[in-house]
Amino acid sequence: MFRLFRVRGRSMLPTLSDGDFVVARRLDSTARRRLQAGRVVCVEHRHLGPIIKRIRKIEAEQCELVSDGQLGAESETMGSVDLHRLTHAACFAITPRGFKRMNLAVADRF
Amino acid sequence: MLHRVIDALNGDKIDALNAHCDVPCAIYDPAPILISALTVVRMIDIMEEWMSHKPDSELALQNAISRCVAQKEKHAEDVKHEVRVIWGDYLKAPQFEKHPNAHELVHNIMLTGSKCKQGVSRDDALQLVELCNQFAEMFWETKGVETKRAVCPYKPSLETVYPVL
Repeated sequence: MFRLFRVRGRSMLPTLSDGDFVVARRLDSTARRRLQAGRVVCVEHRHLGPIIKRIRKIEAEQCELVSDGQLGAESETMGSVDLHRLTHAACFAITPRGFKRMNLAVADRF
Repeated sequence: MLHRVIDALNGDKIDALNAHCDVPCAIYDPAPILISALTVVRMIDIMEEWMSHKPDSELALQNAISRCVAQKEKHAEDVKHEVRVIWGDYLKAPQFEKHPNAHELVHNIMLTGSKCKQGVSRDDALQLVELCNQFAEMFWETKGVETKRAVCPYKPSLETVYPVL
């Protein structure tokens, strides 16, 4: 049900730093339909492999992803992603500074 | 505290999720590739000029040839490096879908660049310029920028791709 991941890279700054751990809940088809824009998700991307990004827009069976940081891959590069590629929803982050709940959105990137 | 415990226990065994950042400055331009490819041709031309004229001394000839070989080597390698950077960092799935021959073109540039390092064939060097022209045309097309071919206004006076800005 829940799974622990390690974050590699800095594209999700300031939300997640390189080396942080993320506690994520596995998504089934019902849970995917309930996802909202702004949620941080784990994605098995067709070209980029396993990545962690925030949902920018979600509609029908596809969504667009965005990095929280300015230096991450652009949404256009990641393209539209099929919902079935979203494997987990991030719930908590375990960082060297403590334990925090994942916020729904970073306003200035939406 | 919890982070340190997990990290110490089995942090390395936990699956990683990539949030990579390679500082994407987004400054990519094939111009250095073309200049380097033209330089390879020019170095071969200069060596041929030296060999066809009686030099002042054998030492002067060896000195001139050595300098040209060194520059030919460097610029052929520069071509390979710059092409690899654009191929690896800039080109991504959407561009590869539009240009399915991109991998083959890049591979041909690698092979021809190596040939130019190994030998002094002008035909190989001309082939390198042509392949780099094709690479530049492909690059600018991904940016939606029109290109034109014009003879470069300096030796070796070869047809070169320029963006129409």
